[in-house]
Amino acid sequence: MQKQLEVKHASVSYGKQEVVRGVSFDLEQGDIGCLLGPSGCGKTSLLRAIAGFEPLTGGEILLHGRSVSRPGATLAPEKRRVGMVFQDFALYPHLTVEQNVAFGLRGQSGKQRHGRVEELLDLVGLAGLQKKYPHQLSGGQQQRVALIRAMAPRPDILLLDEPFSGLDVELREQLAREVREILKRESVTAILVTHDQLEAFALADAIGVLGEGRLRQWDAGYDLYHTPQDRFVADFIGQGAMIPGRVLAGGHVETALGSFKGLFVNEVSQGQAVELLLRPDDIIHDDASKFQLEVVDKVFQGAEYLYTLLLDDGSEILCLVQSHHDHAIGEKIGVRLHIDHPVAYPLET
Amino acid sequence: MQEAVEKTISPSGISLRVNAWGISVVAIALLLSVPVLLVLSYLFEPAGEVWRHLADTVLQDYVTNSLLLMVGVAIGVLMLGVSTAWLTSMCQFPGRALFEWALLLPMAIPAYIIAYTYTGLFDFAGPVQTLLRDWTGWSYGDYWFPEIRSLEGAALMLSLVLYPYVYLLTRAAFLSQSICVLDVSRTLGNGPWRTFFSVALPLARPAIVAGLSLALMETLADYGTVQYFGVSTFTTGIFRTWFGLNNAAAAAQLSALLLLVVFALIIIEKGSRRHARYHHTTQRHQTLTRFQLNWKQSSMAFLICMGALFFGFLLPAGQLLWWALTTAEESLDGRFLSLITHSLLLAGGASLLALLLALFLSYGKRLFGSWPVQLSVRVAGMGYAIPGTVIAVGVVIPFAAFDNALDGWVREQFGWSTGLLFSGTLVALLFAYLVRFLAVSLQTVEAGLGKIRPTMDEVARSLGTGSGEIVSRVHIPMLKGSLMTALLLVFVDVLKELPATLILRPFNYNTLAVRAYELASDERLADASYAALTIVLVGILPVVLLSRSITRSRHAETA
Repeated sequence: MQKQLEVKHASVSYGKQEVVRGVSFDLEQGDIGCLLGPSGCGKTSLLRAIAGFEPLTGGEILLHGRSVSRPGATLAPEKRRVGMVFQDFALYPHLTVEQNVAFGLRGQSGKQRHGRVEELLDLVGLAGLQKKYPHQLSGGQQQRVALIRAMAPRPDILLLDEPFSGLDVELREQLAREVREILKRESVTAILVTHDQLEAFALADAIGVLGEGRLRQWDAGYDLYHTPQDRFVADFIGQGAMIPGRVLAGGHVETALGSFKGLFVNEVSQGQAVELLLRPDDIIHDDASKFQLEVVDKVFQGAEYLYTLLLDDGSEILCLVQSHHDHAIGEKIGVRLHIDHPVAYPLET
Repeated sequence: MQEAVEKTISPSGISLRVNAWGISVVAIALLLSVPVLLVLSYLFEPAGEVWRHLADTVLQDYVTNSLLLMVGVAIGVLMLGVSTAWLTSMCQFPGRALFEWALLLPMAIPAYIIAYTYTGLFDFAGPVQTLLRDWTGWSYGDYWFPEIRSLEGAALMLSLVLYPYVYLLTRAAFLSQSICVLDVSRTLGNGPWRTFFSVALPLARPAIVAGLSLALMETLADYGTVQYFGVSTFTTGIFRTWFGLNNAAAAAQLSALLLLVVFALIIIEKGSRRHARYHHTTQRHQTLTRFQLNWKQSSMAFLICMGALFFGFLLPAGQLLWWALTTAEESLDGRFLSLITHSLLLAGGASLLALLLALFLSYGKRLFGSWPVQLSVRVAGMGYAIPGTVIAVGVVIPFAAFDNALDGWVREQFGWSTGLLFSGTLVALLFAYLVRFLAVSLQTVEAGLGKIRPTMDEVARSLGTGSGEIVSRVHIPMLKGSLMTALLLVFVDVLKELPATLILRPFNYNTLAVRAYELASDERLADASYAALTIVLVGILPVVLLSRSITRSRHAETA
């Protein structure tokens, strides 16, 4: 089956600075991908290259099987059939909601256009607002108008550049879920760019973590969280702590909390010093456990306390505990490990 | 498919376009800065005989009078501008909403025109003194009456029409403070007076200084008022040196000195504006609770605002209307029609040219924002603060030199004379208008263009819209208002402009402003009223625009 989007070793540079370095991934029709990373990681540049606003300095981009970007040859954005939603929504203040949504509909009769606009407004629950101007809408409504304006001409791919960061925090996650539902219902292929992992988890089927211009890992959210392929991804996604360990025979790792069968992202040799990633939810509160650790810090998070516990070797781990278990700093609590796939990284020397 | 890809981009094509557009922008800026650079270059010319004579005799007068005039205007505009700004923004009294915009009306009257009307009203033969004599039975020499045609009179005239600059900026500053600091001051138990002097005034100081600098730049640029009142300042000095002593170099040297003072004011103004930005401690604008004045305070507030409005607009405009309706002998005949045609032609042409240039420059800056382009656009917008007299001197000298050189060359080569090609033609005049007023268009267009965010272009492109279609479907509809405003503002500025027109116009080519000036100089004040009144009426249009934007921002605040 033909891929809807193929990015092959794509590089983007500004002057001498290479901001995207040889990134490759692809999306099937109807998939929602996400480019996730801290600011300055090159995710927006890559998105703009897919849209056609930035030329490639290396690699190739194919949309629906046709090559649209290569070094020295960039198909103009207006000829690519991409839809784009920006952080600032960029709604046209001189046009009504209806006119905004219909902006990209061409070569159709007025009736067809009208029908498409109605259909989309219904889809996002904005029926009846056709004649309003953008400044008369709330932030969430503006966002939805920007979304369906980009979807109206049925683009080959929809590109969303931090589409929720202009909105209130409470609104964001709710909208992200809504948007996912809308995109799935219309079977739209889309890429979201964001620095917010919760947004990415809520919206995307597959997520690519970018760091310093490179694609570190392309995976589902669950796998990014539980089996990050390198230290960068482990640090960027979720909370957690690294504890020191040593590789034993048979791929086991010995730590202050016992020994486990480890997953290794790099080649390791027996006896090598490694670090093991422990997520807060890998550690279970159990008063009967033989591991009694001292509480050095605690943060109340409503349903849970996030405790920082001190290990014998001086390293610290994080532990999520139901907030009924209220322990004072300095107290010792018992914990045991519940860990399916402990990931170990060679110690950086 | 492959062809389409290759065709859409050709790197060499793009860089070529950058160069052609960028170079044109730089060239335009250079051309427009010729007058100013030329005048400044005279600072380094050795002082000639005439200059030494000037320095020995009248220069000191020019300096002293200009300084005194600035001091007088400063006091006047501060008192009128700050007090009215405080009252209309922070106090509640009957008529406040009306004064809020009506206090801008004096801006519609050029200083030289208000000077004519006050002379007509208050000189010996005017209605006021006549009435006084009728009542008291005094005759000439029996009594003292303030002489309106004096340095003090000129300061008063200028203050009455220039205070809106201070009013406008100070008012904005007061409004932006209101929600945060002023309320705090009031909850701490300070009354209106204490709050005003201890909080509002110090906080608004950058805005006040910025408004004051603008008013003082206009004061230095004024020629019509001081000339009519016989006060020797820099601008009248430049005229006299040029036409009386027929010495271009000395006139240019005087101009250069004046320019230095103007530059100092520009620096003060820019600096204050930068400060003013930092003083906004919050972006929140809420309906502020104004001080409720009792009837005594209310009537004082009403009198102060009414005074500014009455003496700055109602009285002079009323006098002009009275003259036009009753005593004027010059009627609305063919000659007057030709005045109007000339003025419309010049103002329309200049505003259209300025708009086209402004569009070219600001699009250049938007599309290729390299530093030479950015700098050039800035330089091109510098002329607004520069007195028309100085620009005229800076235009005449190079145009004449060019004409003479060309004439000499053609004579030598072909044996016939080209005469004067540019100097003394409308080309020179339009060029001078562009130098002085391009800044107005440029600012307006750039502000309008700034509202079209780059993402709006990009959304349009991703929706399949080409460049031409983006301009017609997005840019033009969104810019329409700004473009009209730019046209109107330059139009009115050109209509009012006096000194540059006076120096550069083709022989016997009269405009409304020039005709009003000539008639007034011949002591035919009433006859000048048609031309003057026309200028004032058209001048009200931009004031209406300004006041509309004020009420609109007021709605936004309360929304």
